[in-house]
Amino acid sequence: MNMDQIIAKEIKLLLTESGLSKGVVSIIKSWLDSNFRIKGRYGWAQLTLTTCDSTGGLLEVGLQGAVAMELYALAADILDDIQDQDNNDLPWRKVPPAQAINLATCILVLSYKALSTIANRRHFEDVSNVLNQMGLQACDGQFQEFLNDSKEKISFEEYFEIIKKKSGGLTASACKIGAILGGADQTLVDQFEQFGLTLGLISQIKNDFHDFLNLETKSDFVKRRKTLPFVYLLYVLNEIKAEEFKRLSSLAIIGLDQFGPKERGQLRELVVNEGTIHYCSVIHEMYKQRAMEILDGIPISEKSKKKLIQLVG
Amino acid sequence: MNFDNIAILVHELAKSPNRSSGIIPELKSIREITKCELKAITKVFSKEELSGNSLAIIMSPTRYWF
Repeated sequence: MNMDQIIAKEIKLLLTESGLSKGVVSIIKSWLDSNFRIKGRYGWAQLTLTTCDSTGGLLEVGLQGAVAMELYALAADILDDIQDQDNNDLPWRKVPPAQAINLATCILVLSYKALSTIANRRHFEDVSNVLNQMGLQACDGQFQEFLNDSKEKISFEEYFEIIKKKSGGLTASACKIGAILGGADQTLVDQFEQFGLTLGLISQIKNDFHDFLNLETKSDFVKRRKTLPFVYLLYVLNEIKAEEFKRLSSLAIIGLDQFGPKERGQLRELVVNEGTIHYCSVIHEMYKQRAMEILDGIPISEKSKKKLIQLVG
Repeated sequence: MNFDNIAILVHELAKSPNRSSGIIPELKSIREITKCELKAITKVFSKEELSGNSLAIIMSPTRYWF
């Protein structure tokens, strides 16, 4: 069996032993499958297991933590989409919100159930702490984001504080859990946490940029979400251009039917001409360099480093 | 990282009709930019030159987590 098959088997076993009704199990399986089609197979579990392997841990030792991370991230995705009211084509957005929230809670509990089978009690406690802290941080970051939606502008520092708590927190936790289960000492765990944090920032910056002009699927621009392109444009635009940007933003808030091809063209022009692509690319590149520096300082095999470098891109 | 200064420098470069990676060190002298930051800025603008100002996003594909 390859790694994917082993993870799938473990999740299947967890669902079988959960006591959940067949209908609920079937929906959770289909939601896991739909997530794979978009994000690749078991990205969170793979990240956790890659880190575990890098620190000398066997696959069996990291498996429960990897499954817990995969399920936790799915639950977080579902709750995030409900709160943001976007990604309407995903299956959890096609059922009433009450049902989606109920099943997200169920998946979250399954994540903790997966952890409870970790044999080493100290590892269990450490990993539970990581998961709890990650959840608290993500909720805190999400709440700050809601508050920021109604603000005229925020600083770059405020933006990075939030994505460190949300995206950065999730990838940092996956790496940290893998390192803990692999038996790494505290210094190595901290190094992997930093690597994971940087990986999350790299991924989020790219997402922010790609989602900014994706008005049909993502609600970032419509909600005046303070993503990196938004924060950048509000910072650099001169008075006239800033007014134009605010006018477009106000039109989008009223409804996308008010935001036709002409307005979309004007927004695209602002994004391109004012250096938004360049800025996002520069910050993305700087965090990539940071990730490589962190990896350079981590005492693991070259083979393991190669695998982690691939994740940086 | 000095996000504000980088934003101003990148904006200036993007708006400059004759932009090229050659003028980056010149602009750098009037802004507080570290060597690492300069390296990233130069790389992005050099890649743009190589791709003939296609403005294709240079962010390389990483796994989609979010």
